Amino acid sequence: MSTSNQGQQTTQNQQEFFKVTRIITLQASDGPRFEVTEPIAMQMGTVRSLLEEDDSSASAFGSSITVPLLNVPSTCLVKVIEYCKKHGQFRAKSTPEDQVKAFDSGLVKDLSDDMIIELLLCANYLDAKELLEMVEKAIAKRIEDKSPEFVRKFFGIECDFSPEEEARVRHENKFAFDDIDDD
Amino acid sequence: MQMGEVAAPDLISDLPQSIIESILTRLPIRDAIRTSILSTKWRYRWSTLTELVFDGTCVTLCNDRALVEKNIVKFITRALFLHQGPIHKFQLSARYLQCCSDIDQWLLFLSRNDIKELILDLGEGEWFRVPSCLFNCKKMTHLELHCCEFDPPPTFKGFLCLRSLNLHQVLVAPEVIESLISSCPLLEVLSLTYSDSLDLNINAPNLKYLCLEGEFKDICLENTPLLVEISVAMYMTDDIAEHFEQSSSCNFIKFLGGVPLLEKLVGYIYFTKYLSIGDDPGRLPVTYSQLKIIELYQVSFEDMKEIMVVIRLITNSPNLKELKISGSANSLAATEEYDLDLQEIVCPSDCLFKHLKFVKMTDIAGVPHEMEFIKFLLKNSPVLETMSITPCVFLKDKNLNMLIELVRFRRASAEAEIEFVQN
Repeated sequence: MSTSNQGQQTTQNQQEFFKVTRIITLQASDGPRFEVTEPIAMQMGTVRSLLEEDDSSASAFGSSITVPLLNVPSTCLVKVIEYCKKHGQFRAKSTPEDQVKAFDSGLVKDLSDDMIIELLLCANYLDAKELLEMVEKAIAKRIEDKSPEFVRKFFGIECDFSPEEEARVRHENKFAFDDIDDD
Repeated sequence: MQMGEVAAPDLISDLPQSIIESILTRLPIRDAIRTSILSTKWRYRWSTLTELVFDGTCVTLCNDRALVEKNIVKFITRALFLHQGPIHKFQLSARYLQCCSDIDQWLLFLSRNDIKELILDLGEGEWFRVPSCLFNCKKMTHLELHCCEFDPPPTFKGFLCLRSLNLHQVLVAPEVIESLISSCPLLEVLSLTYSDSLDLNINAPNLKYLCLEGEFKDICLENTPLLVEISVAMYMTDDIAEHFEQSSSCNFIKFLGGVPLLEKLVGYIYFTKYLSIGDDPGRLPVTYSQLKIIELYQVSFEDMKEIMVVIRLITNSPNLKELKISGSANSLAATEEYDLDLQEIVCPSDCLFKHLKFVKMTDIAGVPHEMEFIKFLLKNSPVLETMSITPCVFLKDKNLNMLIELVRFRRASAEAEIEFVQN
C-alpha cells in the first residue's frame, strides 16, 4: 500500500463523511413543518424535481431547505411521510411481501372515506407513485360490489341524469346490472 | 354523514383520466361498467379502459353451467361492443367456457385494436384452437395461453415485440416452439409448462427468465447469454429414461455452458439427474460469478454423478450465498457404503465458499454420502450463518444418530448455527 494511495483514500473518506444527507423540511398547507431526510423526500416526485432544480445552487455541506406543499394538509403529509419512511426500510431489509402488505393495509384501514380520497389526491399531487398505487387499490376495494348510491356518496358525485336518461343507461348496460336489479 | 349535511364536493371526477382509469382497472370489470350510472360525466368513462379482465366475477355463478356460459359470452360481447379505443391488455380466465366461435370473434376484434397483452385461460375439456388472427397481432408483448392448440400459419414471421411468452398445457409441435422462440428477438421471459416429451433448442439472445416444467427429452440452451434466472422441473417417462441412457453429449455443458450472468438456479425432480448425464465436462469454461442462489431438489445422493453435478456447480459459483438441497427417496435404498471423501475429490483451491451464508437441506435420510456432503460444506464455509437440516419423515428413529454425527462436524464458521428441524 503506497502512501499516495492512502492519501487519496483519506480525502475520499472525508468527503463522504462530510457529505451530510440534506434535511428537507416539508411544510403542510395548514402550517405544520416536518423534517425528513433526503432519501425519503426523493420518493415524492414533485419534491424531487424541486430539489434537483435547486441542486446547482445549494452547497454540499449540511444545507437545509424548506418545501411548501400548498395542496397537502398535515393529516395527509404525516401518512405520506410514514409510508415513504417505512418503505425505505422495507427495501433496505428485503422485508417479505406479506409484512409490507400488512403495513400498507394498516396505514389506510382506519381512514374515513373522505380521508382516503384526500390521501389519493395528495399522493397524486406529490407524485408518490408507489403510494398512489396502493391507495388506488385500497379505494377500489372499498367500492367493489357496492351500489351506485354508495359509490356516488363515497366520491361526492352528484347524479345528473334525468330519470329517463338513467333508465336508458341502465338498459344499455343491462348485462352488467342484471344482478342488482333484483335487490 | 347525517341528514341535512351538505354533501362533500366532487373531488374525484376531475382527477386525471389516468388515475380514474387506474382505479377502474383495479375493480372487477362488472363494477367498472356499473360506474356508467354514476353521472353523465361517468357514463362512458369505463369504456376507454385499455385493460380488460374477464373472469368468473363477471356473472353470477349458478349450477346451470350452460346458463353461466351463455351469460359470460353475452357479457363479454356486449362489453367489447360498447368499448371505445385501443385495448392493450385482454385477459379471459374462464375454465367453464368451452371453445366457441365467440372467442374467435373476440380475438379478431382484439387483433384490430392494438392488443399487446393477451391471457387466455380456458377450459380443460376441448383444447381451444387459436385462430390465425392472433398471429397478426404485431404489437404483442405478452402472450399467455392455457389449454390451447397453437398452430401458426406458414407466413408467420414471429412476434417482433414479444417480451414474455407463457405456454401452459399448449398443444404445439416442437419445431414450432423452437422457431417461435427464435423469431421473437426481444423475448425476455419464457415459461413452458406441462409439455410433452419436448426436445428443445433455445435460441433467445435477450432471454432473462426461463421456467420449464414437463417431460423434456433434451434441452439445449444454445444462445441465452443474458439468462438471469432458471427454474426447471423435469418429469420422467420410460421413453425419456431410455433416451437418457443412450445420450453421451455432456448435458451439463449443453444446459449451463452459456449462462455466465446466471443469478438463481432452481431444479426439481430429475433435473440434477439430467445434468449428470453425458461425458465429464472436466474443467468448466464458465464461472458463475453472479450465481447467488442454488436450489436443487430430489438429488439422489447415492448417485456419485449427481453429487458431482452439485459439487461442480457450487465450486464454480464463487459468490454463492444460499444453497437449498433436498434428498430423494432413492437415497434410502443406498446399499453401497463406500467411503466418500469430498475434500480429496475437490481441488483445494476450489474449496472455499467465501460467501455462503445459508444452507437448507431437506428430506435428508442421513446416509453416508449426505452426511459427507454436509460435513464438506461446514468445513469450507467460513461465513456460514445457518445450516438447516430437515430429516426425512420416515426415519424418526435415525434422527438421534444423525444429530449426534452432525454435531461432531468441524465448522469453519464460528457463527454457524445448525438447525435440526423436526416436524
